[in-house]
Amino acid sequence: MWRYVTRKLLLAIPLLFCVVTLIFVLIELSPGDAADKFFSPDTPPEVRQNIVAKYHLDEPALVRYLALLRNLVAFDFGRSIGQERPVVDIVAEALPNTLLLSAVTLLVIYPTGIIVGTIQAIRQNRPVDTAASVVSLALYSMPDFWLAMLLQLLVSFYLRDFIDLPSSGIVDPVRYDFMSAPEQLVDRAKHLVLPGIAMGLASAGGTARYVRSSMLEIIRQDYVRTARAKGLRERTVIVRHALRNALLPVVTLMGLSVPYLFSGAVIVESVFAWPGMGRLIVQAIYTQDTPLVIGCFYVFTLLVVAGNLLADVAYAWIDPRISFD
Amino acid sequence: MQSTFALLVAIGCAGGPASPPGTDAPDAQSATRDTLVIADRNDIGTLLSILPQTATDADLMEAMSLLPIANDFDCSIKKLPGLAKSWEWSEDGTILKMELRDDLTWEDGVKVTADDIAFTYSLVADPTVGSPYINHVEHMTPDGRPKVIDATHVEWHFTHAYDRDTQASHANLMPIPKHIFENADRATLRGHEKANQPLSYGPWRLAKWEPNQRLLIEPNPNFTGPEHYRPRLNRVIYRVIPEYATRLIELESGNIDLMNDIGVADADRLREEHPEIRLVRRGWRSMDFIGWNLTNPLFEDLRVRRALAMATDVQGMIAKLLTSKGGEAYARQAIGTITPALCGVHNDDIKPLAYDVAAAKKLLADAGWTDSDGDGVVDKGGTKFEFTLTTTDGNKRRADASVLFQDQMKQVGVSVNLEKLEANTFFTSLRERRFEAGLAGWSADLVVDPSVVWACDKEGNRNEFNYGPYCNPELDTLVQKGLSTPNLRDSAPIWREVQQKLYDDQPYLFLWWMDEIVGINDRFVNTTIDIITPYKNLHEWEVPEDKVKYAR
Amino acid sequence: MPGLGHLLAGELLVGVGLLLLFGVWACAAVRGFPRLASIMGTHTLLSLITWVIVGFVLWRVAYRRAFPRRLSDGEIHSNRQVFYRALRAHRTGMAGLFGVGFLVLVTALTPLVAPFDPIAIDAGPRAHPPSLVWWMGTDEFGRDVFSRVLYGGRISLSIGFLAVFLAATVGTTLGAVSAFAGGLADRVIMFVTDVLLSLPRLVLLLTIVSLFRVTGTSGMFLVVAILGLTAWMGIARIVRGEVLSLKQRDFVQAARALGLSPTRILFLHLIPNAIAPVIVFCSLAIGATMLTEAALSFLGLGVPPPTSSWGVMVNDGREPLRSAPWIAGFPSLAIMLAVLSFNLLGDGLRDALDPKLRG
Repeated sequence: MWRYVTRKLLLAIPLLFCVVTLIFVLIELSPGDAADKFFSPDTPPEVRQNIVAKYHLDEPALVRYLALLRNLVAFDFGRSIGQERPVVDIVAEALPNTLLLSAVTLLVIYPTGIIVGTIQAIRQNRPVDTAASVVSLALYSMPDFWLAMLLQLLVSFYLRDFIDLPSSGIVDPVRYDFMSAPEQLVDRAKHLVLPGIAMGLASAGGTARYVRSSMLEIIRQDYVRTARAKGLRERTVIVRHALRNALLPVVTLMGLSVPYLFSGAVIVESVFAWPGMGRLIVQAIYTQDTPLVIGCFYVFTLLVVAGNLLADVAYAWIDPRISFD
Repeated sequence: MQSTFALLVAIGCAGGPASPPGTDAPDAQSATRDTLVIADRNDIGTLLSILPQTATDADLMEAMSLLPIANDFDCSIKKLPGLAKSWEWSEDGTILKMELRDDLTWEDGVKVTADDIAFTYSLVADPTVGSPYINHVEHMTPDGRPKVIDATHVEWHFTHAYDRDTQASHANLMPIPKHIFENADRATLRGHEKANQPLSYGPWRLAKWEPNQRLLIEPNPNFTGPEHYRPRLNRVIYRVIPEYATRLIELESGNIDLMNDIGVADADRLREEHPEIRLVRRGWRSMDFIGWNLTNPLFEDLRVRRALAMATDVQGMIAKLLTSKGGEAYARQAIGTITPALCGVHNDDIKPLAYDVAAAKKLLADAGWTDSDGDGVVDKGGTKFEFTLTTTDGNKRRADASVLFQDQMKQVGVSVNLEKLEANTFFTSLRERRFEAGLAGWSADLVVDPSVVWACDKEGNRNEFNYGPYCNPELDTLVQKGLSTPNLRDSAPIWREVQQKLYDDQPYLFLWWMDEIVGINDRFVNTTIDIITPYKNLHEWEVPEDKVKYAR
Repeated sequence: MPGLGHLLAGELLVGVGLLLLFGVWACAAVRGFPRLASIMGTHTLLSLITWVIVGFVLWRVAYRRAFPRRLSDGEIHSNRQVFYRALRAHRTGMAGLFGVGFLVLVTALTPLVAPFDPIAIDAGPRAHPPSLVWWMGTDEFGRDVFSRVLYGGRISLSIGFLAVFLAATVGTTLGAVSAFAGGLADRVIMFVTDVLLSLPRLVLLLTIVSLFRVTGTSGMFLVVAILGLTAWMGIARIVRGEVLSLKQRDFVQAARALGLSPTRILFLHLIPNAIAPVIVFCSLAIGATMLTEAALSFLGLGVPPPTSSWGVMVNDGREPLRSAPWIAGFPSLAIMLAVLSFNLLGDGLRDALDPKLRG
């Protein structure tokens, strides 16, 4: 199995290589002098010289490309034009927040999706199934900003006398410093609920539909009938035999949806004032802070590659049928 | 952008009854209560007083500390002691002597002295640093900016005498600690590790900065100044919430206490639905205008410019964009770049050109613009009257105004294309005069200096903020005369004449001065939210015992 | 005319009765029209009548298509006929089809069914809630939101269709070439596909938009182009899979034996047979593309002004969200319904194509 993992890891390298190439091509193709993208009108001349030297901006394309490659691999994205701090610092601050939110989102998507999908498959064509299908489809088709805004408005505002869920931020701005450790944990959790649901609900709907059809296929299979014929309880049949096999394609799905996961962060983070990388890249674009945009894009891509890798490994681990040479 | 503005948002922390130092009740331990939560859309850029990036930076910095000369505003700037105990001018007005307090220290215990001020200004004067305040030292002699007499006395030597309020504002930058920054790399000061955790000598200090999330501002325990500066709140928290609707929700649910830039429609609603939120107007701090590129043949003719002004229904736009449903107007038509808040200086007698489509058409025809081919767009000598109006992206009010403007221009046969540019790009295009017409804004100059905007280009030195460019040597002479008059009372008639001349020339289409609406939770008393800053005299803000929300 | 038929068939009583009823109704309508018109506005009333008529016609046509009077059984059905029957029987799929058809029709007929000019300022009072005259209220300029939603639909749908069309063209060609040529070309193309697939789409789009800032109407084409160029990968994979399996089939061998040029084989024989799953994917892709375009416009980085897609309308409605929620609400609803229709249609097509699910 480790050879499989290593092989996948090695494949990631040309992938990164291509991403850097893509970034380079985009920078070169975009209008405006490539050099000017790294400066603002107020940048003092010495700083300009430093940047030109670092990226070899005044030299031919190949040299520039290699310089970019070297810089990106070393995580040296230069200094942000707006904040005048190293981009890598800014990204490092925002990254854990996005990762946390993404992890929570995964928790929303998959357990919910699997449970709902399974129930739908068991009770196929009954009211529960139809209702869940309709709701899933509706959620799946809803623009994510609308869902985010609706949740924020309806739950955290209109229902604020009944449910205490905050509308923005990652911790209580005033009281967090005075909370005990368990209270702090609860506070963080509360702040994760709405953004997590906003990010995950649509995908949960999609997952539910996928699990449903996967389960339906499996249930028809012979070995399930055998299990039933053996006299096993329905629950054991479903959970131990059918579900395990139905989940295999779901893991693939997890891998495929990783890029989408991070993209969804952009909108939700903006609405809920979540200080993560999604919001960061949007801000960077508004302020035309090219080094920051590139840094964010690169890190996002790394995350996606890492996520895919993890998904591949998880898949290989779960599915005994995969051969490892 | 408007470098003078940032300075002139001279937010003082003084302004209360200025008691002479050393006479405070020795053990007046004012109890602190409650927390103020502010939310705004941007994070701070930096907290170095000489390199502000946004107005928020300036507002907060100066709310936390003391300017040398604190400012109050009542029709004009009233100077009050701050870091400087007293000051006086020489007979000929070229030297400003300042005496500093001797009892203020930085948080680490080092005294604040004249050396800090001298060091700060040496940074400002250094082009490597890139401070937007570099023009403050323009009129100072090389060894008089300032000249250190001793630890508490400095002298500012100016090359010539000019308006004393302006001189004072040029000498009024908040110092940064020399002993911390003296060895810093000047080109990258903003990125210095201490740039966002500066030492404070004032009533407040920055306790924590979580980038893009919040700022935690607490009373400075090492403050050595007089008692009446001691804050009465436990802390102030500044939250970064980029989305307007989210800020509003947080304000309405009571999670934040102060919100700037509330929209007109929402102000109405808040008034009805949330009596616990007090709405305060910060009047006439900023204006919008349409700047013509005067080198463009379309706009060269004064008659054309007047016609376009007459074809624009400014009052109508105000009624649509800046007036509440209940009829309350939050803006006032502008006739120049001097704010109406400067009563006495602002020329209230100038009547704006009346909205008159027929007269506008006639004027255009007089200037040779008629619709000879019947396509609805006037033309002259084969050229159609068509231009592009650019404005900044992300400013809803300006975007809406440009749409209305386009519609109104259609009525007189002028075709306008609209374009939105990102803010930096837009301002660069203005500064480099690569535009046709631009819908932009100015912030109020509380110290009158029209030369910033209207002075002719000097030899080889372009006046960055003169976008037209507009050049009227007669006006320049008049302005210089006004600038060299020592006080505002005497120069006011000159300024009024300047405004009249400018309005007659119509270099820009002045639109309106706006009120900004600030919402603050009613439990806060003793607050001052004025044209200078929303956080004036932050140390005086307090909450009565029975209304405290955050116990700790 | 109601009643005439009965008269002609000899049922006098029913016929006369119906005629009389119709006469009464017609008189009431004629007298009531001005009254209604003064309440609702003539243009709105006319628009309403057009809607009713169009809706009725659509309903009848759709009903007949979905549930034809007679199905001839016992005949041998070609694959295509089997497909159509399966599709018709699929309830939600048909709902999706009607939805899409409805959208396309309304978009085409927009100038007829929109009660107001979408850019007419002060067509009504500012920020007025939905009412009889302005069905979806007005925005802060007094523009009728309903008309704007209709015209915005033209933009949003066009972007969706064009982008996916671009993606389909590129993807099909690349996928087919990749499978047909095999060897190095296959490996290279698939590698590029994998690379692009593993990029987060919205982030990639944002990066491109930030680097290539275009304003004006050409901005819309840029948006279409980049949406299309980031969506072709899935199609390429599908086509490749199909072509690979088709490659071995007899008719291909026959074509080869006949000496037909590879290009001809590719375009005339392989691709048409591989197209079916692509259509399914396209339907779903249009929905996804519309959502992505809305997200971009919501961030202010999509279609530049003055073009107003649904996403742009939602962005405009963000600030007045608390005081006038309908300005953002209705475009959002429109997006959702449109995407829903495409998703349902895609589902129906997929189920209809899938031999396992058909009886």
